[in-house]
Order: sequence, then structure tokens, then C-alpha cells
Amino acid sequence: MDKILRIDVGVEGGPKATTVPIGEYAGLGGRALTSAIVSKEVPAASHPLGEENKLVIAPGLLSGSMSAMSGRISVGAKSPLTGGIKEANSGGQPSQVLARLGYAAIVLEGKPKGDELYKIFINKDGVKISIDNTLKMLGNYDVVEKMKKEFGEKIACISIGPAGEMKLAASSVAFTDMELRPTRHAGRGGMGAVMGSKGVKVVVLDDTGMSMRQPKDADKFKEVNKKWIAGLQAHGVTGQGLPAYGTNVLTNIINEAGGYPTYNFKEGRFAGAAKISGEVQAETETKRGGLATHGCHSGCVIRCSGIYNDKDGHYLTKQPEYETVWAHGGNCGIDDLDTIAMLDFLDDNYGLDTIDMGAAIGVAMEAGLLKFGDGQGAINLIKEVGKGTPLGRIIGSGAAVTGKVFGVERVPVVKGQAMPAYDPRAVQGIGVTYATSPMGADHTSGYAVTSNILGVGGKVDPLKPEGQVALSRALQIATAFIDSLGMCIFTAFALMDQPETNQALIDLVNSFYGWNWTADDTADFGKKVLKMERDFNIRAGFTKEQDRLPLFMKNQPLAPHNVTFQVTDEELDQVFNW
Amino acid sequence: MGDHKPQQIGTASVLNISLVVDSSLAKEFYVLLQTGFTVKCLVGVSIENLFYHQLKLNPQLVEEKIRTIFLSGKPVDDIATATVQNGSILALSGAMPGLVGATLRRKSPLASFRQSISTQQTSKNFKKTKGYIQIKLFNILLKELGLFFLEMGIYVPRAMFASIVAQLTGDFYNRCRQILINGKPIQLKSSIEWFPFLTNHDFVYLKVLTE
Repeated sequence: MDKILRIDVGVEGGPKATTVPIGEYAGLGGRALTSAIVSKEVPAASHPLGEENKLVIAPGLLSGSMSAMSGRISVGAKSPLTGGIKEANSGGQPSQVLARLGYAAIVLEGKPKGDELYKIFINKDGVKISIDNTLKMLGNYDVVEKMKKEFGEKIACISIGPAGEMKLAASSVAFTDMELRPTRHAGRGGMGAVMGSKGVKVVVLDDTGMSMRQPKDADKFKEVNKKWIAGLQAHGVTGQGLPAYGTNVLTNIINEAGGYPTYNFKEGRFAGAAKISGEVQAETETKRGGLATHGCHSGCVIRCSGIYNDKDGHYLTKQPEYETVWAHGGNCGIDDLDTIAMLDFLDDNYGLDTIDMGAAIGVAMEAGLLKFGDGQGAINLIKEVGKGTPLGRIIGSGAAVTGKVFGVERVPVVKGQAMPAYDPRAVQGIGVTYATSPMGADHTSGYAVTSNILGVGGKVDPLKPEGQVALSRALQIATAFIDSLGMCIFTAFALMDQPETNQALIDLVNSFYGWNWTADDTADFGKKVLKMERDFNIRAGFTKEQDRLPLFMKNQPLAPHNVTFQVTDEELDQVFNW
Repeated sequence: MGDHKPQQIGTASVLNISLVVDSSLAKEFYVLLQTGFTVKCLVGVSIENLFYHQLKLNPQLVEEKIRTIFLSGKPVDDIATATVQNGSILALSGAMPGLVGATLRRKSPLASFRQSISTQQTSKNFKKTKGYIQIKLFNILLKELGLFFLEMGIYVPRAMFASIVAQLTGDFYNRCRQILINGKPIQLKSSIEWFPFLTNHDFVYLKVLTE
């Protein structure tokens, strides 16, 4: 991973690929690399869909190695949804494959001269770019099927659906899983629209003839990788809860806590939650011949994904994740798993962020466009997006735009991006991260809980209110580091509870690269990433006023606890004072 | 459907149902366990008292597996001080993923994140008396404690029980060894045959024994 593939799509005669040494970006991967390139090379005032923006796709620092859980890939650009810097990451196979091909990143830059649609094929022999207008407005599933016919089944694909081609602000970039299905998505922030603006429909990767990336200290790496895997498998969350039920295991407990946003964030508890819980979902999948325990990429030992079959036992979609089940479920008053699974499939196929789609439909329901609980109506709305009707384009632009068009006051967004599945009035600490993350409302921005967390970003007494700000800071720092490794953030729970597993992760990085990092170094690395991102946003015109939750969080109490968001603006402004 | 008030059972009409089933069939009733069932117990005592002295749960299981507890919707940190009262709803879960999942755990280092909804230390001056509490079992605790509670006996609203039996297939009846209704053996072959028995009762007291 010592080279970067730059593809200028604006060259006369068609896109031109150039491979350059990684140079000044050496030592960076994943989110750190996407944010470094965007921050340095993209003018902050540029239009997200214009010539000056760049789409950066970067595997993590440990991707392509034998390290377990290292298959996340980052996608970065200036976001058409938030107007700020964005890193969205995804599971799937392309991270490992791209890393084994030796690329630290693919950078799509420039603006195409015409309206041709391109496919890019990358293997050990180089890069081939060709026009393929037969792919126009195809869904991700059909695109991948065509690529399989053309390039065989030993490939991994990165693609956009019709939503990306239409440059909709909530469009995603899809990544194929181990079954070569486009089920994993860099969903947040409209990265699909940026890829669409570059005229690129699909990037096909084939690492045939390439081998695993080799660590500097192979013996040490092998030894700590064993400890790493053992730590993940020994932990209650990563070894039991997630494999058995997937992330949707959270539905019951977030609902019980009264923090499950229901009916467009009107209430904190959903009467139909048990019907769409991870427990019921896993049972349904097993009964129908699907899978309740499955990895999303090779090298995954947690295996929190699955296969969801329809009533007749045919594949419908991958196991919908908690955020998807919530967004299309409780948030819209829908308590039918088959309806939610269909919505998940449609989102994946059209290339849409499931969170922003569920939030947009919830806002549309609040506006009276359809009733809460109307599952078929929700399916029809997503199909409108796929067809590109005016109404579909509004919904596909996300909750913020939908709220403006339909005149809704309660629109759950920060920096234009929809809030995920945890109401910050009940769990106020996550509201600090929603408000202040450079990415907009994002549950994964402050996610990585490490065992050294209390020593990162200042000493924290978790039982004091001011702890929320300091903890959010520490969480955002730790997450920026994890996101840069290509590590799945679900490893975070073993890191929190098991200091030896936390150390194993640092040792993995050190033995792979020949570094001597300490926990403090990882914190410095995370800070550096956040600083670049914050700096870009400031140059793009963001002020502290964008680091706020929507007003209704402060003045509309959330049942059943009847709480409002109490963290003050002054406290929020302290998050990045380290 | 699961949002019944546990204390109503004291004055309600209850139908006693005992089943003896193949062990693989017990999970047909797990939805009842996650939606919420009621048990009679001594109330005005700590959760710790309930776990160890009344339910006689294994301390290792309590410490290692029951990592997330809600008392009437509020996260619990200290089981020695949080008190169950008549009508309390006690939800039990394993350690959960996600930042918020970690936040909701007992004695989480992230406890400040949910401070405004946490169970506060409660008084020790509650009157100890017999009462009813609702229990919900989630995720890994369905496997760990599901059979325990089904064998012990649980109260569930009639409508909730009816919705479960409505989904039972012929395979269930073929593999069900015995059905006792109010102590009398009854032969049932389909779900519709349950309903005459259920009419006129508010709650079902269900015991499921496995072979």
C-alpha cells in the first residue's frame, strides 16, 4: 500500500489513470488518509459535485493483512449533504482486495466532459477504464451481476445505484460482500452523489495473483493477532451477543431505556419493538433457511451480519442492521420485519443511506404525506426515489430537504445529516457527539471505547455531568484512530473491557509497520485526524452554531422519561478544547 | 400487548396452563419472555435480594451475564440499592454493543451519558410485602434464564398468550407431550381449540416443562 491511484475524469478523451507514490501521506490509511487528502487538496469552498471536489476511497492501515476485523474501507469527500468534510466507511470485500493490490487509495478527481458512464477495472496488471452506458440507472444488484458476467466471480465491486447517478444527497457507495452482493454501504453524507458526479458507475477489483500484505515483524504479528482474536471471542458482546443476534439486538434495550426514537422522534418507546427485535429477527432468519450469524468480509470473527430470506425462503436482503430496522421501523411506526427487509433491499439496490431514508420518510409521515405505520406507503416512496420522480428526488435528498419541502418543524438532523437510532434527550452524552462531530449527526463518530479512555483527552469522572463532554471528546479521538486502521468499530467493546485486547491492537499496528506506538500516540493520531476535519469545516464556513442539536431537542420533552437535552452550548463548545 | 400492569393480577381471573414439551419447543414461548411476563414475589426489597434470595440465581451468572438492567425503564448501576416495588418492571439483558449499549451497562464508565434517566439510589424503608413485578428477558438471557422462568411459572395477559398459540403449527401439537388446563389433561390438535378455554380469563399462568 505504497501507491495512490489517481483518476482524472476531466481529461480530454476520457479519464486518465496515474499511479503515484503515497509520498507525504505515508503512514496514513482509512479515515486518516481520506481526510488528509480532502483537507489538503479540496478547496473548502468548492461545490461538492463540482470539478474541484475529490472522492477518496482508502482501505485501512491493516487492511489486506492477516489481521482479523481489518476489512473496513473509508470513503471521503466534501459532502453534498452536510457541506463539510465527510468520511463514511463500510465493510465488505473491497478493502482487503484493494489493499492487496497495493493501493493506499483511489482518488477520483476532475469533472467529466460529457455524460458517459464509466467502469474501472483494476487488477495486478494495472487499470482499465471504459465507457459502459448499458449500466445507466441500473440498481447495484444488476450492476454487480453484469460485472460477474464480464469479469468472473473472483472480483469485488464498488458501485453506485440510480441515486448516486442522480446525485442525490443521501446516496451511498456500495461494496460487495463475501457472496458478491452489494450489501455493504458507505452510507452517510452522499458519497454516492460525488462518485456519480465523476461519472463512475463501478470500480471492479481483482486481486488474483496478489498475496496478503506482509508485516515487518511476522512472528510478533502472528502472536498478537492470536491474542487479538482470542480477546474478541472471549468478550460477551463480540463473542456472543453480536454473533447471535446482530446489531439489531439493541432494539429491545434502547426501547426499554426510553431512548428509541419513535414516530419521527416524537416518543422514546415503540409499542411494536419486540416484533422487530434482533431476537425475533434471528429466529425468523433461521426458520426461513437464512443465516443469523455471518461475516460481512473475510477475516471477520465477530460475524454480526446475516442473510434475511422472504417467507418462501428466497434471499431478500442481508440481515438489516439496528439503525436500518429502527429508521424504517420504529421511527416510521412500522413493526413488520418483512417490510423493513424490503426497504433495506431497495435502499441497497438504489444506493441510499438507510438512516437518512428512514428519517426522511418519518418526516414525510409527520407532514401527512402518508400515515405512520404505512409500510407499503414507505416502500412506494423509496421506489419513487429509484424512479427519479420529483417526489423521489426530494426524499432521496434526505431528511433535511424533505423537512424543508414539506414544512416540518421537527427534523432530526445536525449539519444536514439525519440522527441515528438513539435519542439524545434520553442518552445525552451521545447528543454531544451528534452535535459536535465534524461529520454531522453520526453515532459512529464517537464510538470506540478504549480501556485507556479515561486517560485520553483529560481526566474524566464519568459520574459528573461535565464528564459527558470530556468522554465525547475521548470517544471521538479513539474512533478516528480505529477508523484509520480499517478495523470494525464493533471491536471497541472488547477494547473497553479488556486492557490486554486493547494492547493487542496497538501491538498489531506496531508489529505490522515496525512502529513503537503507545496508547498516547494513538490518541495523538486521532486528534490529528479530527483537527484536519475541523479545520476543513471551518474553512468551509462552519461555526460553532453548526455544532448544535435541533431546537426541538431542547424544548420538546421525550416520553416516557419526559427529558429534554440539557447540555449547554457553552459545554458543547469545549469538546475540541484539548 | 405486553404493557399490562403486574399488580392487576391479584384481582384478575387466571387460567392455569401447564405444558410438557420437547425441549426444542420451549423457544416458541420466548416472545412472551422478551415482551414481559409477571411473577409473584416479595417486593420492597433490592434487586440483589430478588436475584439471590428469592430466585436463587447463580451469582456468577448475575455478575457475568446480566450486565444491563432496567428498573421501570431506568438503567440500574447498583443492584444492592435499587428496589423492586409492586408493579415494577425489571428488564434484564447481557452486555450490549454500540456506544449506547455500552453506556447502558451496569457501572459503565460511560454512565454519565445517561445520567438523566438512571435509577437513583432508592430508600431502604420500603415495606416488604408480597406483590407482582413484570420481568423482561432480552438476548442472551433468553437462553440463560428462559427455561428457568417457564418452568417456574409466569403470568401473561390472555391476549398475549393467544397471539402465541395462534402461531403454533401442527408440529407443535405432535411433539407436545401433555397439556393441563386448570390441572386437567386436555387433548388439543390445533390453535383454534385453545380459544374456548381462554375466554373469560384475564391472565394465563403458564408453566412449560421440558423433557
